[in-house]
Amino acid sequence: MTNKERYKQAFSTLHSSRQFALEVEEMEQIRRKHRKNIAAAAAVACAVVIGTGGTAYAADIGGIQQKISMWLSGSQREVDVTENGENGYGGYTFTYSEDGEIKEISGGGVSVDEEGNETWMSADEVAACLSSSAGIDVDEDGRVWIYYYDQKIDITDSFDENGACSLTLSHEDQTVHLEIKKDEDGRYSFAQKPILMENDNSAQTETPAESTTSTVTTYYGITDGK
Amino acid sequence: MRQSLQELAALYQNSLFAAAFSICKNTQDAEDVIQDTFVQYYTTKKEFEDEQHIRAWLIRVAVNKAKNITRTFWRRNKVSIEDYMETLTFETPEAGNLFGTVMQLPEKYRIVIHLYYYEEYSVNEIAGILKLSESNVKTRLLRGRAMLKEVLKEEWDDDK
Repeated sequence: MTNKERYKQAFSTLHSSRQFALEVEEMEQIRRKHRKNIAAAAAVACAVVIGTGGTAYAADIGGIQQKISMWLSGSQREVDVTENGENGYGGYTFTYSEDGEIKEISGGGVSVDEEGNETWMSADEVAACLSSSAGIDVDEDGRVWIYYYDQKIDITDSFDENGACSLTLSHEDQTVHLEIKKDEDGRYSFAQKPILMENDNSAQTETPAESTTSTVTTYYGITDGK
Repeated sequence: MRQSLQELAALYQNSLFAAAFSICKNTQDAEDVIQDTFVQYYTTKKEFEDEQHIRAWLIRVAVNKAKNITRTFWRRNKVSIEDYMETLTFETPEAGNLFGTVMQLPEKYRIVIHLYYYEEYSVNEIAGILKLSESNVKTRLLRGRAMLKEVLKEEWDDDK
């Protein structure tokens, strides 16, 4: 018996008894679920904002490697990028100055290509993800603001009796729907859903992109470091 | 060319399962890999040259997905390979020994050994599937064989 024959004999005992989903409807269902999971994973990468109290400086936390332009709190800002690990592993820390205070935002993630290879997202990709995510903040007067790219909208008086409000925002060819909720502790969170615009040359119809729903939770006070 | 998923499942399901299992060492993970691989095939717009092209692509996707699973932080609690082997029926005690010894090899040797001995791919083809250099594949094959020989002794021949 050759080694190949021995090997095949040994591994011929392996069989799967699972009934795999192979029909078109089942595939579509699984595909939608996968895309949701990927979108959710990307959203996780976009959720952390930390006020540093004005003492830390990017050069002290590993060295500034590059500058990137990002949309943060309604303004386009130049941020310093520090790679937390090699080739995107561990994500990136973006450091910027706001009202004389040094602030940091961190994020990272993986993208999966057609052949199932996972690649750590580049700083540009993470920055684009962070820029495309809306933000929520409460100012010193207690007004609640939503940020989306260059837009800053006061939604303080838009909440219903259940503490919920929703709005649709557009930037260039992107349109998103936001569902904002206020919890019992006075904290705010929102879910962001992309809206697909189907242009038939005469009219535009909105199709909620169910498969690419992402949820971002931002809590009141975090962006102020309070 | 494209083949239906039903055809592919009939032809390659066991082969993909064995490849995925040889990396994940876990039935449920290996089955998830197969399902994901079929979804990837359904989703891709790629045109394939022939059946062998499809087969190689499916194995590459399954191998990549299986590797991704082994790196996942929240990987499911797995049954030890020893416990799992007790549920399997081997034709001979030697077959069981070989299976167990292969499963103890480091992953990078295990998958090369599997593609060579089970799928009967050449060094050149394995290099293409795993996106490695031929010399790298040869080295892994050589070291994997040496490890098998060291444990299995006369139950494993010296390959050229």
